[in-house]
Amino acid sequence: MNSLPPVVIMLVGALLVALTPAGVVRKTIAVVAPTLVLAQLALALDAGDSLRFTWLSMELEPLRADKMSIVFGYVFAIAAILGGIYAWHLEDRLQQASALAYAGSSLGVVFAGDLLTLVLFWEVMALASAYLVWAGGFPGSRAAGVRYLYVHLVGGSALLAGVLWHLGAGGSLDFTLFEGSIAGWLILGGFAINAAVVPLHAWLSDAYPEAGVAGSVFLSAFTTKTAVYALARGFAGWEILIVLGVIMALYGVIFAVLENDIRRLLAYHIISQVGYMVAGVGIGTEIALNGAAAHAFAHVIYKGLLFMGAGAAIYATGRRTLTSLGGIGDRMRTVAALYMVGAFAISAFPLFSGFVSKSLVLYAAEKEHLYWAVALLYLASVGTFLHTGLKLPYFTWFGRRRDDIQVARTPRSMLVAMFLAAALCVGIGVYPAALYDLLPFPTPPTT
Amino acid sequence: MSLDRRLAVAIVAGLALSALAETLLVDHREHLFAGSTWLLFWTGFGFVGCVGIVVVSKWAGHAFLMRRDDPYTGERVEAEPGEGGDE
Repeated sequence: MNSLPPVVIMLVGALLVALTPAGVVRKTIAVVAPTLVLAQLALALDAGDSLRFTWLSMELEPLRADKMSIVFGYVFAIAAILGGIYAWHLEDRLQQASALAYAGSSLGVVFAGDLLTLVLFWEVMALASAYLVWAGGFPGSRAAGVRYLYVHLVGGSALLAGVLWHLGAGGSLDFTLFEGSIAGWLILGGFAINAAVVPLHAWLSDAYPEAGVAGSVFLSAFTTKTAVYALARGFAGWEILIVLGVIMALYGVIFAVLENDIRRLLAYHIISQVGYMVAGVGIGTEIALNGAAAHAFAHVIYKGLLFMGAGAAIYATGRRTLTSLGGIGDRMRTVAALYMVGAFAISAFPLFSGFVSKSLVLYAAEKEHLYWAVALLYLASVGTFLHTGLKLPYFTWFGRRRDDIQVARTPRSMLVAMFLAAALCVGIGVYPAALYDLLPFPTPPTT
Repeated sequence: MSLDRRLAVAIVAGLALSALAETLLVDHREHLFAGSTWLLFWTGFGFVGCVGIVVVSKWAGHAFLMRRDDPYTGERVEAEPGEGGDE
């Protein structure tokens, strides 16, 4: 198992899901495949493990395990498990298979040791995730899915062009740090589109709210965080990323003030939170890269939880805007309570996961005397609590009671997934060493 | 918009709790930038930041950011400017 790329397990799982008739077996496969990956990461795969072979005179490395790839591998496997449980109510074979292929190809990216493997799984990720938007079932889903695919094909083309330019200029096929050449900027552009770096971000807030309630949980986890991983691997220490990251952190917050669609509001906050990670990558020190990886880990789980909560409200009421919701908290007490755990986590309340990860990025900025960035990132954090912790829950659940809103029963599987995600948010916050031990560098988080 | 009594109590209680937490937990000796060594600086930063984000975002939204029509479909969006749920 120590030379088997995790993506293989996930793609075999996706194939089985696609071939299995409706029923418990298919749903079980969707949960078991990422569970096997999690077991592989915990028991069999170690930093330094690798799989290399030669194909058409090219030295390919579809598996390169190190601490950076392993920490992302862990959280992607966890996200796929939680998503599989949350989507248990779903009877859509292609959407289930696409979700598994999407999660799998994200694992393919983070364990890719060469640029050809990276590009291959980057494109598979785009296709599989586009289907999740396409199959959302809302009036705007089809068109948003097509727009999403166009944008990601442009991003993938920029990445491929950059890789080919890099190889043509005598560069290595190994996926390592890039230089500030034309090839490097093209590759950076490809990564920046997937990371939703402003001004290349519009696809995210356009598409994520149009996916189905389960699809958006998967979407919130993988695309932007694989891009953060790729930036950390290829562009650590590029100072332009500090500026872009801070802009992202504030931009998402400002647009969230104006947003009415509950999942679009959360989508803007993905841009904001990924901004912290991009800034961490731009700072580029060991603490900053630890911070970016830790925040990606925490973010995948709490943002998944927030999308699960918002999705449960949409599933139960058929409504998706703040102005059409409100006052249903007494009929969705468990969902509202579990959502609030995610809200406290993203707002970096002490004893919740966001606190222990966001602090690392801020601490790294302080250590580098980037006080302007520290102040603006703190400001973005204030805005995050304002919208995710106050505005969304107040207007969705805690406002004046609305008896005109019919509230259907929330499937138990959704509650189980939310409970597990909430437990992780609190667990990491209370015992951060569990996360810190996984981080790429041994640097102590604080002095 | 008039503040209802419960909301006003919640804001005051939140500020008081923040001030208490900052007094007990934050080391103000570390100088990050102008003002950061002042007592209760971060409580004020949070409160002013909240108000500032809402005011600036609303102004920018009404001035030039918000659109009545969906830029992709040309159809009218569900909410009018100002119906963003927090007024």
